[in-house]
Amino acid sequence: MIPLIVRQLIVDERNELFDAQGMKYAEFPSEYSKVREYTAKVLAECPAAFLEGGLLEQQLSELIKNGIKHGNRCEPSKALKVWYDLRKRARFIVEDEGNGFTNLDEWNDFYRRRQTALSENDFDAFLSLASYRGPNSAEDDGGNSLVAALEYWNGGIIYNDTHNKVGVVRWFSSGSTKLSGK
Amino acid sequence: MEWTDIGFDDHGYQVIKLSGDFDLYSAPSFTRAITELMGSGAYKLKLDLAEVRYLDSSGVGSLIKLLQSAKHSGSAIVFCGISGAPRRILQMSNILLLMKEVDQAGGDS
Repeated sequence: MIPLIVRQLIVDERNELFDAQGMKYAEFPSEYSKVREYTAKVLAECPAAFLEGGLLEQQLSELIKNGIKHGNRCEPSKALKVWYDLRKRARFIVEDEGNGFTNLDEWNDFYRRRQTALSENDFDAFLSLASYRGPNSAEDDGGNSLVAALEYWNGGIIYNDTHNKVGVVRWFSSGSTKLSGK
Repeated sequence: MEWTDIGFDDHGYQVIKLSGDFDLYSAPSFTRAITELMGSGAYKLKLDLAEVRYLDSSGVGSLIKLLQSAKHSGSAIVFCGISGAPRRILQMSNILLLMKEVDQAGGDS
């Protein structure tokens, strides 16, 4: 039996993860072809200990991709805003100009059913639930980025009231120790 | 990302070797190519991911689609060489549990 672990996407406009004081800021036009380029720019001065062999790049690129593709509908005139702080931990706020992740509650329900199937070793059901498909999903969407995100962002993943802004943080035990004197 | 058909192994699996970044830009064309290769009949496919250094949710989604297609058509897909950050992503997505892994020679790993 696999232990049942159900996390949740949370809405909390006043959460401290939305406090951008002291954070660096970058703003990008919503060009889908440049998702990884934008990610690399934000991480240009990231401590090596935080990169974890490409994990941080992968997770940040998912946030940027979601904002550009699902939020701003790949309209270059719409801005994708990123606040970031790479001192002691990796913390980001990503905001788009879209209507927000309107299916957040449905996604939480999907995730609960997915995890329940997994815990019951019902792999047929789990495989059918492996990718989330919402009303705005495209054929090419992976549909699973938030599953890994809930585990990766170990200090939280929080949405604002309109669901078009997300705050995340990842703590690194070894990296935080190394940087604690700075 | 590039992928290369390197023929059949000793167990009758057609081996496709992937290299590079399995990401939002390469995953759609890879999914289409492999789905077309598998066709609608039973098929035995081995995906060698040893040279995949970057995997994002689009790449994971591609693997999920291929697993779903294989289940529907009675085909078999096995994997080898999954390591590093791609392995970690598959673990965090709980998808690694669905993937039958073999060693490079084709035996259970």
